[in-house]
Amino acid sequence: MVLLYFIAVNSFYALLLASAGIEICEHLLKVENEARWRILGSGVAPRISVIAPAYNEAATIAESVKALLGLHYPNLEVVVISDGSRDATISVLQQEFELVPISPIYRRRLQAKALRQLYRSHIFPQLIVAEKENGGKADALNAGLNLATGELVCAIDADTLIERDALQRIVRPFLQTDDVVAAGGTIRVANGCAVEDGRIATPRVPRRALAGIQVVEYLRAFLFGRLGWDRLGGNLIISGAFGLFRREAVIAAGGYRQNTVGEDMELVMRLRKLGYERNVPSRVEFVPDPVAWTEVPESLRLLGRQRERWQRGLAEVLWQNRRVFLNPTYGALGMFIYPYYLVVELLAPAIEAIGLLGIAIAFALNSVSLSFAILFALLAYGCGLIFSLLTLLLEEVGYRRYTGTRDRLLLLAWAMFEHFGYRQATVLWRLRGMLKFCLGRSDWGPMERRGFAPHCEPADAPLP
Amino acid sequence: MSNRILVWIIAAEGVALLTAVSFFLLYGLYRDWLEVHHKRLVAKVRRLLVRSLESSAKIPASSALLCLPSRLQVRVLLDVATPLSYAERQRLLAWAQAMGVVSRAEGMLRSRFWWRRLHAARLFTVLGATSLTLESCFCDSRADIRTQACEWAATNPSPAVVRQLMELLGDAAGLCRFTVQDSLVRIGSRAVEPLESLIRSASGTKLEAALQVAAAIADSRFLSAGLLRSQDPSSQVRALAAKLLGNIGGSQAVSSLRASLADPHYKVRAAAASSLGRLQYWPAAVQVGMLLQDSSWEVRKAAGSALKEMGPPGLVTLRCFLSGSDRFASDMARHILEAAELEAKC
Repeated sequence: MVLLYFIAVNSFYALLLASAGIEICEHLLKVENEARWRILGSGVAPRISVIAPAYNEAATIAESVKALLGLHYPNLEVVVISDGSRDATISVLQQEFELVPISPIYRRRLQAKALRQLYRSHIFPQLIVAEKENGGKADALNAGLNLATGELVCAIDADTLIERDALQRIVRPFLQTDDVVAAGGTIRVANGCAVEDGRIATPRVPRRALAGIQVVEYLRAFLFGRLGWDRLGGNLIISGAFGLFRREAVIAAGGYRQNTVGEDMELVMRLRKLGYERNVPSRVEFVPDPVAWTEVPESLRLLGRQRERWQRGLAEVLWQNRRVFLNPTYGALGMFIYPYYLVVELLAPAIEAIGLLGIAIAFALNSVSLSFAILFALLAYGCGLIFSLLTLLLEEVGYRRYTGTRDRLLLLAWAMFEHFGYRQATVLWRLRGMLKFCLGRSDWGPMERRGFAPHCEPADAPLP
Repeated sequence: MSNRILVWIIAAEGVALLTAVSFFLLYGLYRDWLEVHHKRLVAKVRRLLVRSLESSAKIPASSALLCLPSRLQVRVLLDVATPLSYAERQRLLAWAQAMGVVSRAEGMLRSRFWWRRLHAARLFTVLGATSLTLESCFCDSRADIRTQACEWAATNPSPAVVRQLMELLGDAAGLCRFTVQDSLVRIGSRAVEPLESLIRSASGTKLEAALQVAAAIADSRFLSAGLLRSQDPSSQVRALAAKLLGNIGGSQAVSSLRASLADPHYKVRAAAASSLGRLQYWPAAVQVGMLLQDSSWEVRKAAGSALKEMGPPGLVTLRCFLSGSDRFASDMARHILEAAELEAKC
């Protein structure tokens, strides 16, 4: 059974990879030398409100907001929501942007915890800062949706650095057709990169193993996974770190739900479901070239917590929407996309663990020989490595963010080492996440931020 | 599964891995070299063009341009052409024609591969060259190519081209419609007459797109069409007509807008209020002020902003509602007055 699962999943991955390759080629041919500057001077470009929830982000908030205000888009609003921060987040913002308190008068269309204070910047009129009672990320995003005035809203994490022309690129699907309700961009790893004036000046592959392996992982997830699914019409996740939504569609769907840690996936699932239930626009697209850079955890403890949370979020969303499973009313969503996420994304760590355990037991009972076990392990490792390498090739052919032999060699090294310990650790963390879901745990756990260093990390930093 | 099969599969994997790793590294090195090589050529072409254009001498032929792949030719021409005046662009075009770039692009327009047609259309757009073949791209099956043709049309607004743009206002592809609108706004007065007759005769998405363009151009010749559409059965059309009338102005427009303040649909009331604010028509301050008590948030917001734009009479009206009995009206008045004070300080 495990073997059949292995064959089926890897065959599908091959299909996804081929689909991603075609999608990248087509996309690059379409956008090369495209005059995006026209949108800058256009009187008909839709207004975008960037919503940035922040919780204890004093170390990075100033840089992040400056970067947001510097985005190249003609009709832009920035809404920062401090979700009951206990550090100096608001003080930093007040000092940096000369905030002036204003009366909290706005149209409350979504439920959210009470606003304590609303501020407008004296020097940047398009910046609004809201201080509210702590209610979690989803609650903060709903508060942001209430305050935003744009036709489109861009939900980001406060510590995410968005490239200057990212909004011009990510708005494209909304200009192409009227039935797009959400679009996501690529998230890349900022660790190890040189940051200047709130933007990534020089992308570099980190020398630390944990961050470096995550670079490969993120490339696989976005350039392979999301792009491949885009062509097949199966996008179910818009990353919470960088996504653009039609504001009215999100409000009509009820905004972000608070009873889940996977609020980004939950919202997209709901938007797609509503498309079938109410016959309203529900298209979700992935655009590969707008890029947002984010800091990834560099300690095993924090990384483990993050992966547990993601798995828990996935389990919650799939459980809450179990009605969709194999339900022909929901078309491809019910018959194809949901089963994939259930069987491949959710249950994969369990099946992998069972497979490893099975081989160990079979070996102990002499049902399988040592040579078979070793060969199968090599086969599985080789398969995974091929997909990683082909993803790196896609990156090299399509985008070439990491230039120079050093970075290419590092990418290769991290792709190779991923399966020695890291992958097994993610299986454990994901299993723990599923266990916590079954036990009904719903907390995020504290996250720590290093902040963006102005230069690359030091050469002799110890490996975790 | 026997070990032998596994060994064969692993061997095949090994070969695939070695190939992938080698290709990845070698391709990366090749691209590094190519970038440096192309950078030199691009810099050479750019220097040559900039120097010649500045000195108004004839631009000499350069094999460096022909050594570049066509996508880089487009890029270097785009970089150089974007800030040029019309006369300089004509010189650049003459040079590109002499270099054979234009005739090659003309051939590419007839290609069965969409990316070659798109590429050629972009080249024509960058150079501002005319092409009858490109006019046929308005009917291309690919939306990207139709969109590119519409972008080209902004710099080649012959009557036939403008007629084609009118047709494409109702295109199924949103990006194409957006580009058509943008191009028509850039074309300006030459598009007014055909647009005016389209507003009278069209319906649906086409009509709405046409009204948006008309509002951006804001020519007084749109007045009668705007007044006609302010009575349209569709609320969206009436709202767009209100926006158009607000951009045109004049006594007839103002009368129509004042009547629209009582429209049954909130979007129309909001649009009418905003338009009166843009016109700074302070005699309507009291009437607009009454909309601060409207049941719709959008209308109250639009009314408040309009009063702010009307200047002192509008601000006085807002202050009257500050201490009124209607909480929503006083909240909105406070919100707008605070924004006005902040703007005054900036």
